[in-house]
Amino acid sequence: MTARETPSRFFRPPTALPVMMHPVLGVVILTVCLGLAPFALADYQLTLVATGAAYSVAVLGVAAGFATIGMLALTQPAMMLIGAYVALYAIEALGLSFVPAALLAVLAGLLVALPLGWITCRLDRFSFAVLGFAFTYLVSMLMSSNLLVGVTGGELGKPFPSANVFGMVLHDFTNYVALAVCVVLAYLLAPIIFRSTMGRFLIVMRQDDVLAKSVGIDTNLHRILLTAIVSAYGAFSGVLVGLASGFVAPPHFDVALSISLLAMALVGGTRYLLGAAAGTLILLVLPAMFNLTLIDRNLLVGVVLLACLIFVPEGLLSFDRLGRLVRRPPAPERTPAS
Amino acid sequence: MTPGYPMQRRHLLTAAAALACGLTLASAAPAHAQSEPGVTATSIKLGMSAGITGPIAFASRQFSSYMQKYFDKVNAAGGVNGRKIELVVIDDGGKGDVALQNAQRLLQQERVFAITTIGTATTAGILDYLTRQNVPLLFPGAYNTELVNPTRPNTFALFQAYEGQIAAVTRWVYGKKGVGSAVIVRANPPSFDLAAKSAAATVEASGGKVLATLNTSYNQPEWASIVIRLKELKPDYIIVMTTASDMGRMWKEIAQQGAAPPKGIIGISPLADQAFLDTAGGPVPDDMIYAAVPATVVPTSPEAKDARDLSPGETMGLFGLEGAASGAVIVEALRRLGADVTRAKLTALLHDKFEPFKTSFMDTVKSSPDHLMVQSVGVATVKSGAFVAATTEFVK
Amino acid sequence: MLLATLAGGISLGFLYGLVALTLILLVRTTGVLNFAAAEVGMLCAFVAFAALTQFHLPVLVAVAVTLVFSGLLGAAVYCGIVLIRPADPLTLSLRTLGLLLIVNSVAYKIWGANSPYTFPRILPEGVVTISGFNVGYVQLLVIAFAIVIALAVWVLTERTRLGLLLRAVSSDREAAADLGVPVVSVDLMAWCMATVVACCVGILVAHLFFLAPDMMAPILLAGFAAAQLGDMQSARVALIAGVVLGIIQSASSVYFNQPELSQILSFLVLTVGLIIRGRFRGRVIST
Repeated sequence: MTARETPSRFFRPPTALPVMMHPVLGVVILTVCLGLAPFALADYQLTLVATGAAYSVAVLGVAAGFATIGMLALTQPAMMLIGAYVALYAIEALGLSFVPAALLAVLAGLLVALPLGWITCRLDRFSFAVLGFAFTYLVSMLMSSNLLVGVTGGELGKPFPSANVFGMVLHDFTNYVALAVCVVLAYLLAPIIFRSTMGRFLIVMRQDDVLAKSVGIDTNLHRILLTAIVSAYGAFSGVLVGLASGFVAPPHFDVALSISLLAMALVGGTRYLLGAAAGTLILLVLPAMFNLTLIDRNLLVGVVLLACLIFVPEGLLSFDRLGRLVRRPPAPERTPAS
Repeated sequence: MTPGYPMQRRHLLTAAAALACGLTLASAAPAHAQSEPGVTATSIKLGMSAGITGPIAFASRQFSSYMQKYFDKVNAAGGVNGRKIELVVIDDGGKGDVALQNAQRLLQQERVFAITTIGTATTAGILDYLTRQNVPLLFPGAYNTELVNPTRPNTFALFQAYEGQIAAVTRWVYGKKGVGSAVIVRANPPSFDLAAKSAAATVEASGGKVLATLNTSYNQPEWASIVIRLKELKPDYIIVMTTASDMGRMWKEIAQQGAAPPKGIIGISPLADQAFLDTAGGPVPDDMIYAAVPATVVPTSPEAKDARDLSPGETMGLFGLEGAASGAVIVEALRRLGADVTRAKLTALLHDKFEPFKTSFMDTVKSSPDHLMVQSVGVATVKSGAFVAATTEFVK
Repeated sequence: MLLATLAGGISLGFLYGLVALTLILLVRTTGVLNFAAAEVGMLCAFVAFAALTQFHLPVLVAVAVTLVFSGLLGAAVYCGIVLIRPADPLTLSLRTLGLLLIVNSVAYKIWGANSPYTFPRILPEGVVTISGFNVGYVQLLVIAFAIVIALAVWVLTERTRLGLLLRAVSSDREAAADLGVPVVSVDLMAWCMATVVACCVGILVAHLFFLAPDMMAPILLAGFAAAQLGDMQSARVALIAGVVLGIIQSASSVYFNQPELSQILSFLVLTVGLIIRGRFRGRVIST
């Protein structure tokens, strides 16, 4: 590892960031939608929306990783599984309430991600992707096996226990409110993290890794941190998925889900904060609401993903017309003095 | 945690207005109107979550299809006490969490009277939810131990769990072909823990010896390593517990390595599935395979003709016959309820008042303290490349 | 037992290596990682199955028809994924993820309801005994085919004009086009060749295992791992890596009897291999 230096005084991080744009608008729209949903939707549809919102937190992590340094975060289902079962164990066996259980789950995700990040920070993108597939497969297999059957229920899974917040047992509507609050918090946190100095350094690394190193950015450290943050989002999402769906089973968090989460991130787009939510809505929630068979849902994900990557590579929320309607005027270009 | 968001979220005034309207309507309704979900004067609506796409598509399609055809036959003859049976099937791709969503949809949106399902993972996904909702779960096409242990007031099973299956068929085979040593080959997921222990206990109790237990994974990449061990151990029997296609590939490797056990291969019900023969890669010798067939006769038996005739142009597999059997018991239970069909009455009937009932294609069905209403299994073997009954008796 | 274990592991390992080669062939020639390569092979195996069992074509005709179909499929995939809107290799690789889902879903929709199927025996049946372990002719064919493909990839890319053109286009498309290289034709040829190889792999796997939309699942991840250990460039290293993974899985199954341990060991081998390969990249001229 290179000695850490402070960035050169001549280095100016970019001011206009092409990720997590319009965070305030995004959070407001998300909050309004989640707030109105109970009054506009039937019970079952609301369950689907809640589950989709929970998954969208994992998608947000994947989107952030891809948007910053082009990371293919295919370990996300493994982190979701770790988070879900740590929270489950904390609530069931340790008797913790929801908030500390969720925090413990996020911490577990971070702890697993740090060594993984250290291993993978030197790998190229495709190597990281293949390792991600392998890690997800391994975690799903281990959690399905005899080794942890007391915690995980093996391949058949376990019901997610009722949680309590500040002494109030969550069920039905209070469950939904807690979940909505958590999702909004996760979305609020993302632009704070990724529009910080660390986020800006990541953008520079994406543009030119060598340049980033030359101005003193510790690229390995930032890759590790990014892996940890993306994984923390995955772990938190796992807790929320358990809360929303009431059930956790290891086989569901497999390599196929890795691809689906990445597809949702790419389809929604990574430029705007709401891209993750949009991708999840289009590829997860709506197909379930329209009662498509699982094969048809997979087909839809494949077709939409392919079409987006061909025609709208920056995601569905990045239609030019829509972008012009809401985007601020671009910063004036700096041209060298002639 | 109970997913589902009932009326608490509505504004108090709206709730009060709704209550007033409801009371008015209720007072105007006929005195004998059914308020039970899924039950009307002319129909009873049942729901099924089934993996009609995905890895268990064939089994799920047959199970749901034959159950539907049984209901169609009954409906054509006038229904059950004047009510037609309607079956709503929703795909879950063989996944437990999707099955749970489907169960919520079936109850909240479709408003079904009772639910059934097929598949071990899918059944596990909805078991707790339906128990909390107090909705009958009727005769799923699954062999989960949790269906009957612990006994749940709303859940009724027709098909013996894996541990019961393997004990029954092992005992029968040892009785017929003689005592010998055995190697247990099992998939490593915990679902087979009890079955492996049960098999070992049965072998020991029958006077045999378990030489080893070999662990495999689902979709085992290669079977050569397992068969190498089998060749070293030289058991008289191989007792196998995994998926049908894995068992087929295991047989293929055994045949290639010349490691067939002298007395036979004994297995749980997936061994009686056509998928085993389709993946076996070649002919299976006669009297080599002995597979448990829970509750029903072997699908190719003459006794199963009534079930086969439900769909004359189709080859009925094990799960098709199970679907027909489940359908038959459901119809009989509803018939015995009479005009007043409620969930509470149904579960009370099935709990301890369901007198013995038999059709040509399954063993006697009756109430049981653990809610497993058929305790016995049939035994299938392979002759001339097809499954036939090894015995006309049902064994326990 | 040890020699039998090694024989079994090597046989399995070459299958992993063969899957790896279907990936390497395209990456070496176009820079695109085709996540859908194995699924395309599965689809071609189903086409062969339909040709043999539904249309009752003679074996050679059915195989020829399938190979032609695979070539046309490769061309269609190239046009539908690459030519329609050229992009950088990462985006093109991500498009193949969409293709993976589409091909898998289509196969399930058409054939999934009645799967698995027994693939017709079109290859010779029989065994060769090595130290008490019987290796089937099809398994030997897998080994031979893997070696032939690895050699062919090397010869093609290092010793032929076509290979030179492929490498030129892969290295710098614009410059190659400016210098008169028919970029589209060269790319098209690469995709067609890769799909034909994938088709052959699909038929071999269907023969070895069974025919079903998920038939590639047991070997796919290890195939990717072997390819990545070869840096997606070196067929030789990928084959060796595949064999190592195969031996590890076979040996851990025989001696430790725990599938989880086998997977953990494979994961560790992959991780360590990728780290070591990463450190040595740039110091070794790739072959």
